[in-house]
Amino acid sequence: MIRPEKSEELKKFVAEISAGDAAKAAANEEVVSRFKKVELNAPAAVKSRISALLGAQREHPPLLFRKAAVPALAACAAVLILAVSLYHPRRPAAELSPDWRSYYNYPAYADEARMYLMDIQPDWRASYNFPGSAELYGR
Amino acid sequence: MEFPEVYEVFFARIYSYIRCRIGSDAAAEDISSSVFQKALSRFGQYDPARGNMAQWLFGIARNEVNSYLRKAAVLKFLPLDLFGDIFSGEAGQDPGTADSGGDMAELVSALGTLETRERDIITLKFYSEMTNREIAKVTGLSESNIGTILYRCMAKLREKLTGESYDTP
Repeated sequence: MIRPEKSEELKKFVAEISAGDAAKAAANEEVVSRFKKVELNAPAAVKSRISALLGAQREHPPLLFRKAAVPALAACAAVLILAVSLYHPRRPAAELSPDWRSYYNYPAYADEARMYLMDIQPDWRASYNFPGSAELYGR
Repeated sequence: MEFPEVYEVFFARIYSYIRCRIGSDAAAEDISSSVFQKALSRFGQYDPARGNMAQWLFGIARNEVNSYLRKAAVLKFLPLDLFGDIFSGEAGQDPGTADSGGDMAELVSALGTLETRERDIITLKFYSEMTNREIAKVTGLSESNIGTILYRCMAKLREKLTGESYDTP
């Protein structure tokens, strides 16, 4: 729909800037008509091309905005939340025994601790403590 | 007003506004398409309490044109004197303007003598047919400033298109 006539606002504008001068009013009308010609000559081919494009956009909105996609998206979201909650429990399982802080669990002191607990002499590494060495050393 | 009706009423006006500001048929087609696509996707967000349909649509069109001009300047896809060439009528005429003949070229050439802001405001006035107050709201200028700019633009266009002497207010 192209308006053949200029609107009230344009008529008012032309009258206002002409300030009652007939020659100026005619010149202003000429300027307005030049602009009007551009509007009247707006290419119909472009209009129909854009119209077709918009029609396709209206008929096939993006997937995420289609109403039919809502239940599917909700189901996917539910499955995702379930999977995340199953495979990522809130409290991770303890990988260390509760006594991990114990003195005898530290590698550097483990042997000494074991010796202490088992009532082994501190010099257990000495060669005479090895089996068969007692006789050798006369103990 | 449904969207198809809006398209029917405003297509020619939006296209002409963009055509006069850009000076190129191909770019005007692309930008018009983009404007109406945006308008369609945001049609539900249009709030009549914040302005009429012309204000809303021409606001989108104005942003698109400004964005296009900024990109063109920044990316240097277009030479800086592109608009000078086009508006001075030295560049070849687009095939799409053959129907409007020399009138279009003459108008585009006359618009080329205006500053960017003046071109924006005078084309808004003619194609959106908004009041000065509405244009002021869209452009962020004062209403009296819009009135002065329009008066000056009309004087320049009269001089270029009809040969009347340019008188400053």
